[in-house]
Amino acid sequence: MMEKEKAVGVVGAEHVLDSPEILKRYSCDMSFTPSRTPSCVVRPNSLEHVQALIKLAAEANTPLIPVSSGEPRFRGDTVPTLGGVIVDMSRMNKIRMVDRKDRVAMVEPGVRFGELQTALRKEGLRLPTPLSPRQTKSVVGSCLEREPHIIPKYHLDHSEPLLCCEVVFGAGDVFRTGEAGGPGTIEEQQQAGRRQKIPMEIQMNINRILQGSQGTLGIVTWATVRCEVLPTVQKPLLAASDSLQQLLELAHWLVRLRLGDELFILNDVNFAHLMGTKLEMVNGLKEELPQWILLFCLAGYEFLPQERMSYQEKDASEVAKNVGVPLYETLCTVSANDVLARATSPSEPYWKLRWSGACQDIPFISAFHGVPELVGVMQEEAAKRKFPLSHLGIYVQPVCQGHGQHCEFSLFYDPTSPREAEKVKELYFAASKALMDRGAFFSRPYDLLSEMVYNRDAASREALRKLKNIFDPKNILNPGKLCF
Amino acid sequence: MNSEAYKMVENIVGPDNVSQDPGVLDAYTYQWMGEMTGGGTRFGPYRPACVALPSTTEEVQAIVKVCNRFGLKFKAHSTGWGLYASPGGGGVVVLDLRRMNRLIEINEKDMYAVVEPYVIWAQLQAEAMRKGLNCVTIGAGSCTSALANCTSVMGVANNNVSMGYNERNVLGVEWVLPDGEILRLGSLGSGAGWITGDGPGPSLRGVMRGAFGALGGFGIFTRCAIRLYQWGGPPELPSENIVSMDERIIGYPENIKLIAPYFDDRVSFEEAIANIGESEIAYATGLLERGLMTLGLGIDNRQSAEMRENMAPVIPKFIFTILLVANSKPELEHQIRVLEAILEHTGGKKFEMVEQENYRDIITLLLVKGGSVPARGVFSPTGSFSPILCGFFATRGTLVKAMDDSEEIKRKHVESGLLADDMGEGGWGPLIIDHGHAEYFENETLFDPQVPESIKALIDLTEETNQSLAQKKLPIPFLSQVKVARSKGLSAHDTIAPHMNVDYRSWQRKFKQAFDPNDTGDSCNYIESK
Repeated sequence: MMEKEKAVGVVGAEHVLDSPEILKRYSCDMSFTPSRTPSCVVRPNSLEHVQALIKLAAEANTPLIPVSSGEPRFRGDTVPTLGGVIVDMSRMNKIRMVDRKDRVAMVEPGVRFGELQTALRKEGLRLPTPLSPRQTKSVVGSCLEREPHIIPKYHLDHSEPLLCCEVVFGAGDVFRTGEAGGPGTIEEQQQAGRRQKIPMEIQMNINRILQGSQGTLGIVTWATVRCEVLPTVQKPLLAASDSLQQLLELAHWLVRLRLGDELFILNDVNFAHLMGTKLEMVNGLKEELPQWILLFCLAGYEFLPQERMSYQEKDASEVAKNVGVPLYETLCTVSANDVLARATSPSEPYWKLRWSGACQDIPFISAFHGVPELVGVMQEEAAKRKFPLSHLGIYVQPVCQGHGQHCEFSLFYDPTSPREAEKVKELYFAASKALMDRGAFFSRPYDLLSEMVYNRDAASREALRKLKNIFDPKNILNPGKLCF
Repeated sequence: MNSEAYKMVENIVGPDNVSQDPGVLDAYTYQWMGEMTGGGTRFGPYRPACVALPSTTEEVQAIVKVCNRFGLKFKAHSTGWGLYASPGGGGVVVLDLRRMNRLIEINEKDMYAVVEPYVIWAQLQAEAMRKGLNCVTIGAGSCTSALANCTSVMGVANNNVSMGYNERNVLGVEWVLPDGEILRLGSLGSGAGWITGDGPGPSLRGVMRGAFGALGGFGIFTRCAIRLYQWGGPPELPSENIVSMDERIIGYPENIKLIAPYFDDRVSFEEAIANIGESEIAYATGLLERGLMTLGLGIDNRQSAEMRENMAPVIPKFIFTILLVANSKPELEHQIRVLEAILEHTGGKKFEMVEQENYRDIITLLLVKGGSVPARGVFSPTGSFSPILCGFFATRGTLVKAMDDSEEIKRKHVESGLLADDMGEGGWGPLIIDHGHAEYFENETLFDPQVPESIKALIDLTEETNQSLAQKKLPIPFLSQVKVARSKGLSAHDTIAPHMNVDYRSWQRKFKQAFDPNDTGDSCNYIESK
């Protein structure tokens, strides 16, 4: 095990934490992953710190678990399966560059959505964000997790909005991905006008390999992210229906015809949890709302913004009419403007915890036609275990410009009730298996589901193990996760 | 080639689908730009050990396993384009995938098509358009393999502005690895269809390719899903006088509009490109620069020369085209007005001549289908061409620098008389990628493949351009550098890596060693295992 004194020698005594209270906070999260106490928490502040820590860990065969987002954490990916040292990246929180001309920002792992959005807004830019992320969520962490955002037309690929990054592999080497790898140093590149935007290397794409790796291959010390122009005008609209199929059809055509920016579908439970300001309001909304609600937002940019919105609204209305769904500016006293504001801002307290105390998510990717069936599978599994549908949140996000659907079921429950927690845990496993059996693709297999996922694709598992052996041959980075 | 190995390949594909006939084998060494490695001839120096034509993934896998067993190398060949398609050494079994030509599925709701290696862009586009969808037809031509473009090579397009670069347009992939194992990327491997190529966990697409693929050196891709996008035009775009400079569209669609803006200088030109990107109005952009355009427009070289004399002074230097394709009349009207506002903002003007029916039609066909203008322009005057800046992905700070640089250096080399005189203005572009998030431009250079001095002049020009870019800390265009390196018997990576701040070769080599333990893939354009 890495000696504490050596870690102190790298980052300073004040940044090596091992009080029981602190260690407990990193020993578990809100998932069902079994807790395990790390030996200490170190807080590096530079590339050199990270390099030195990886070197020490390799020498001492000590697991390192990189963590960039703050609490509460949910996926089990940062719970130390085999013990070891937590590498908390939150001190590396600088926004290194925002460039309006090239629509790009360079951020360290500790930068959170709220801070970055504020900095971008001053330059007339925005970063497409996941649906109301928790305030403590790291931008880099979100990108590395391939977390989808809510503007499908700017979700060009599952890798979006990540561009380039600097990473220290478990093998100890520093690497800069995409065009950040050269020619020249980063400073020389920037003097030449380059902004580290091209994410691909020549014949490989290390970014893609790092994404979804849950810190098992390397520790990222900065990343560039693709930003978009801040609209000069916006007009959000809502559509609602008791038929998911109907709203999926509407979403398909809006995304396909590039009408509007933000677009997502929530069921009544999720919508109420997101928008409720008091418990009575949450319950009232659940009762009054149609089963499914879609939000989309029209926008105009620098040139003729009002005219753009006007033709888009006309065309979108025509699409909605053809699908047979009316559009609203307000639904059950909730205005579309408020929904947009809530959806695009970090939430504190996190909206998924505000009304139930705990939440277990089941995220996966589906084809268009599979979504209603998979929703049915989830509801059946919930009914079998007497889990109330009034506690089942559903979020459907068209991704990659309409080439696929991200689905996320949220099981809201009371964490102070062991019986309820046990029931949710059972449902989580049973439903995940049933969903996989019916075509759901768990592209981001978190902790306890990993084995189930990789057992379905032995060839990918073997290929990934080869990569693990290349980038982290001593298996010091977050061991015990994925198939490693 | 060991007769036992040949017999096994014959048993796999049948005697009609394998050959060691010298005439057949030589055909697989004959490639555009082969003269750079062929000692003055377009026939490359390495005749394949044999050529096999598999028709299924299982047959491909079986042949690859034979190669592993008998110490042979293999190389996949679909439509082939450039010296990269020829064997890079002796003892290479070429797998010609032309029998794998099925367009398996078009999924309208998830907007993708599943194709085999020999489905070409034109075929895919024709089927997609009938369903109101479209694909990225690349500059190499609509007769090139869609799968090869997405998995193995590069290929930029005028319509990258609205549909992106094809590196990101590939979803699920079926891949016979160099050791003969089959890997199915993304959801396909989990039995969940073609919807994504990423996961579970880290994406193996990152091993498959970067900005460029492995150029046939890292296994064989047998099927893949390719993204399609909304097409606002008609189900068919029929034309007459096909393959002539007077090709006309029959019934030019009402919701399509071609405009050619021009500018006083390159800075305003680039500002307009950026504005167009951010406004998200373009379906396609780009044009041939006037030097190249006038070299290729005539029906023969004499007429081309006359046209150059007459037209070069008339055509503005800083010009490109933008094609608007709308889904509704109000959308088209808006797009036109936004473009007019951008031109007012940047000092641009419309070059009305291009809107005349004859120019409008042929350029529209070029921008939508990848028509015949570029092929004629680059091949007919001297017999061959090679792009400099081939693979130069730019951003706003760098495109203009590379355009200026390449033009200046090229003009100097043109003065030698060994390269066609395009005034240094042989560019194709500017291409806008992802509504302005990246830009692309390459400068085509016409040379005489029968004259060794002309070939050398081309190589010298390419090398000098790339050196200049590296000195300015700009990206080194890989495919241009491959040609320079191959002509000297060097690895392109060994000439690029010294300019980088990380030695990426060691990681790529580890991929090669891990996934190709017997060194079976012909990696002359990828990376050697040691």
